[in-house]
Amino acid sequence: MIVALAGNPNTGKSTIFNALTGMKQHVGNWPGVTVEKKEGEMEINGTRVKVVDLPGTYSLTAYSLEEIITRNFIIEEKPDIIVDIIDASNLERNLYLLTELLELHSKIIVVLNMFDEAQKKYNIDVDLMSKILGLPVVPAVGIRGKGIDELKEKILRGKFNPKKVEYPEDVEKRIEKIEEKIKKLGLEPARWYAIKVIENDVEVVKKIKDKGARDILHLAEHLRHEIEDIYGDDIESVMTSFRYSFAHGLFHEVAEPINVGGVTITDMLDHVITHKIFGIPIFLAIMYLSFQFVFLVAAPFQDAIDLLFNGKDAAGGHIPGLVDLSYNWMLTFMPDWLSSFINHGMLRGLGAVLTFTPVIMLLFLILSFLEDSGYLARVAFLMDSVMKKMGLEGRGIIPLMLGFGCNVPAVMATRTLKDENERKLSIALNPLIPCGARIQVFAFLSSIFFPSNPALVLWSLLILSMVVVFFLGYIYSKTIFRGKSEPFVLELPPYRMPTMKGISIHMWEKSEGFLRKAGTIIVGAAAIIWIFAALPWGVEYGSPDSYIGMFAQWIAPIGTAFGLTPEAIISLIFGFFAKEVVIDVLYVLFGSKDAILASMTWAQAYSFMLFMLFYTPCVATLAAVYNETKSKKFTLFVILEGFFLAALFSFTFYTIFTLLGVGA
Amino acid sequence: MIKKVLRGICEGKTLAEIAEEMDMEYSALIAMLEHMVKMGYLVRGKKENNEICSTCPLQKVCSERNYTVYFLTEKGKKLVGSC
Repeated sequence: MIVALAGNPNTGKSTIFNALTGMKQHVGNWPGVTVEKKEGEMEINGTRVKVVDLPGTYSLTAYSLEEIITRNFIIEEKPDIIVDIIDASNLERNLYLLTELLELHSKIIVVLNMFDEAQKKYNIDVDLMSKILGLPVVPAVGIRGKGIDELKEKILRGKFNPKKVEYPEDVEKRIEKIEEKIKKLGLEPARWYAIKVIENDVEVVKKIKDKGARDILHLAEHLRHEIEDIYGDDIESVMTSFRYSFAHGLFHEVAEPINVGGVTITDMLDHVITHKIFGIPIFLAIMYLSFQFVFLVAAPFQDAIDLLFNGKDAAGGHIPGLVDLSYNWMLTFMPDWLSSFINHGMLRGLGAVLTFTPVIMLLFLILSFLEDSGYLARVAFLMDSVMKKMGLEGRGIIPLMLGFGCNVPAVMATRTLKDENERKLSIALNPLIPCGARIQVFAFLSSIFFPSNPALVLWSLLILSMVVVFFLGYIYSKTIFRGKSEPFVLELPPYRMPTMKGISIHMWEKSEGFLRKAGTIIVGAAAIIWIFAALPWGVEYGSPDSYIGMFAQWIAPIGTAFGLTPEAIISLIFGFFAKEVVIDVLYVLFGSKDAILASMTWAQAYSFMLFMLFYTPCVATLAAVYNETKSKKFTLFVILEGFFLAALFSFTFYTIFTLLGVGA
Repeated sequence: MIKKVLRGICEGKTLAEIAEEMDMEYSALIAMLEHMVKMGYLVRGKKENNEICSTCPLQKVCSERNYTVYFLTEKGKKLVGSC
């Protein structure tokens, strides 16, 4: 006797297999493929039974290897009984495969595994299910061995009077016509072959062609077109929909949800979190609270690292930090310029990197928490809803969401967009999304210039960028980049409580990438800035006579209208290579947090951040824009768009606050 | 049923909304979407299946994971008619 175990993946099929066969099993591969084949043996009341564990599948189409193996085994090896193992806690999902098995085999035992879990969701009428299907139905909890004895008993003495999946009369008539001819060919089960040849199943068509029965293929084609004409859809969708309707109907006949509407915690949370009106305010509130948390916790660590490297000006004089101590110590055995290069350039650069490490790590800790809990996926969904309202929809949202990580892969991801205008629209908006690097810089500057409420400042910048992206997206999609959008839907994962281990790993994965970049590019940039600040030989470091000082004097008039100091402009120029370098430049030029704070008023600082929010994307992003569009004009458009927005917001803000006499 | 799901996606409905409208279990709808991917009505866009992401040096920094996106294919659009 041969018993085959079929079922969806993750229904506890292996547990049932182990419970039936015990140690008597061996594992190999299905012939010619690398899909694992498990076979075992058991004895029921003296009857030897061979048990074959079929690959887990959701359906029995000819589209995947596992499905072909499963159906071929049933057709060719003709097992005596098929045991369909169903995850009863997801009953409806599992019933589709049963409808397909019903067309393939007459002796099926339905095992409702995980029955204890299912009983928390709905009352399943096992007897009614058995009566409707005409098959034995066994409730089981495989992991505790419950139901195994009953299953064994049904394997030996089960009664089978299976109900067939009935299609509408106009379809049934056509199936019967083909079935008659298939029977003459000697193919069994004839009804299954008839259905599949009408559905134009490639494997079945090939088999019939090999038998030389071209008349059946012609007839099937004719009948297929008739069905398609009657229902106005393609045959695959018609037949599959009938089977889904059968499974759906069966589910509603036998299962009665226990809680009202089958509402889960995820459903309840989603009703609030992804609400059309409250969703966005909740997102903004979560962001604000997250930033508050980051600044609150990071501040003491940042101060300590800053104190360690740069010392502090106290009432009794300057308390030296590592940079000063190391500089003085190295002076004892090396020339002044070399000690200054190592300490005021490299070591101070390293100090700058380490000072904003706590902010980076905490931001990523929060992001990892939000991601692992399933909330970030909802943010993508919320953004999509807003985008749709603005007339901008489709796949373009995905690259935009990626932009919050880094604009480079985000621009590259626009390759998935087929419509050229939709693609250009997404690329044009992408650099306006503040990437991770810019968010770090804003976080750092906010903590220096707005110590009383840095979270509010960072939050305001994020909101502004989103408003600008939505507004420009709307304008562009109605004017220069009118495109045809691609409809899509997001599968949102269930909410779960993230584990400390999980979020720590994610936090480290993300922080590591930034820190590695910071450790190389930023320290390297610090060295270059030091050279410009120290040369030509003999001038005072960073003085108006140094190269950087001369450049600053030359460039100063440009920044006046925006409240940008020469040092801020220099940092923005270096920021073109990598945005993180902005902090580094300020550190190397000013030497400490206190000195940076003294260099600008808060209005100038906010204007500076507004400028940095939009001005040209970094060189890597521009290279990606050019690579993706192969258009110098479009790349120039992206640069000019950024500068225009930067100038607009920075100028407007600074002018208003200067005229009001606040913060100037 | 397949057409109903595709039309729901076209109309910008969420999966929860589609499942509710069809009085269907959410998990059953997800399995149905996967089936529709095999049938060529939908295409799945997920990080691990995404060529662009798999070659990206910033893959670890990127936060596009944890959710699956399903897009309508030409075959899917054809079935629904106007989309």
